[in-house]
Amino acid sequence: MMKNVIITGADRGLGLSLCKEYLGRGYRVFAGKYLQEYELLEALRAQNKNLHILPLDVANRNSITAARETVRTEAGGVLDMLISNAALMGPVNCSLYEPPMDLEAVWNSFSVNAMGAARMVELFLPLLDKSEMKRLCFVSSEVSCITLMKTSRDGGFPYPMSKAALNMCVRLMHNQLYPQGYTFRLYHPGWMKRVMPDGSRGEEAVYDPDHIAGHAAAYFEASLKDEQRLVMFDYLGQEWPF
Amino acid sequence: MQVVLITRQKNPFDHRLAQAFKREGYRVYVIEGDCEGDLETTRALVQKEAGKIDLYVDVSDERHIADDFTVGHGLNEGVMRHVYEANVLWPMRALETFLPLLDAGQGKRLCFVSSAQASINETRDTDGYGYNLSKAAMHSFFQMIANKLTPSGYTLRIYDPMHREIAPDLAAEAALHYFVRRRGTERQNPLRDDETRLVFRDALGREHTW
Repeated sequence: MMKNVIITGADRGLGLSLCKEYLGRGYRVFAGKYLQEYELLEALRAQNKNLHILPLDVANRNSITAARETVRTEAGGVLDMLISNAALMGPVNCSLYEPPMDLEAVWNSFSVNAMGAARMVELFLPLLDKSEMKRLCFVSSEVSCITLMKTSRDGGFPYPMSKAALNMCVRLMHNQLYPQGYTFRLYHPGWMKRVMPDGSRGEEAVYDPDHIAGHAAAYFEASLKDEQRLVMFDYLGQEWPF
Repeated sequence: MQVVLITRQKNPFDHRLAQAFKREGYRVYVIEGDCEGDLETTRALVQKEAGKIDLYVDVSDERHIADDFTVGHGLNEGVMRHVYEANVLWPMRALETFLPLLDAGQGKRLCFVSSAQASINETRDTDGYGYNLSKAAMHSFFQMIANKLTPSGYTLRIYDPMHREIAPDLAAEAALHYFVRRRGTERQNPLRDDETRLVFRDALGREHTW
């Protein structure tokens, strides 16, 4: 029976590459689309009818609810895997010595990067409950790691703060849902090349999203012998502290 | 005279802490309110009367009675926003407001209240999304500002007063000693000085992981 996965933030980058990976692995893929200027998902859809494109803003409960109802209809009411990948970075003015700090940016980053993941799980839980797999995957970041944070990132506080909050969010969910049969993946994908609207790669950064997605998809899908442990893994298979 | 500012005085622990500082001879300023108007009023007052702050103590620790939902029962986003504003956005704005006065002081010590409940490693909670997520975000902020300000002579204290577990006067005495002492005996000697490491300790002196 075909498995169903939903991927948020699938317009480009890792999200888009994960869509390709899971289509190749025989999944029915529901891709959350937020950026209207990107049409890479539509090009992928033309090649594979198992891709379903959903308008999805994880900061908006109505948007998530509408996406859920589409998945409910198209996937027979069952969702096997949820991949929370959508994130808000963006340049912000949030420096201690350049007042005033843009605190709305701090909130917006939290609302998308941490609460967005929680909203997705909350609203898709009825569909996930019907699956045997019950896999919840979250794309975090090395900057979520409080222990190893060695820079001030002055001017850019919101993103690391939101990702630390995401890790806490996943911890609370793990404490509740692991005993109910859910399994979790928390993943740091590394610094990936930016994908442009035409599909080309930016010059900065180290890794190509397609390469990282191959590793991430295998890790997200596999069964582990230590599922009871919640840890953050990176693209090299290394464990990170919180 | 050493000047201490205590923000968001609200709990019995906060009041006991202010009393303890006064007893020890500190000049103590306190913010009781939550609004940004209080920040500017207090900043102007401290600027005029003292011209500096040596020790900054932010006791912001907002909890909400309705913050008892799990992801399975449904998020209360109004509660999450309220708690995030109180535990994250207000403290950031407050620190930004008073940083010039701290720069002018000699103490350069920043103290913040948190809770071991909000340790990602240690928490066993399934609820408390408002509180726990807000504090995890602040722990990240603390680490970044420590990296930013330590080279300028700042030191930080992150402290869990163990509300509801330890009597407020005992927690306040523990806080006073922890906040004013150095963690180490010889500056710049890595074998005898622990100040460059950001740690999180509770009222019993136990160190918690993030």
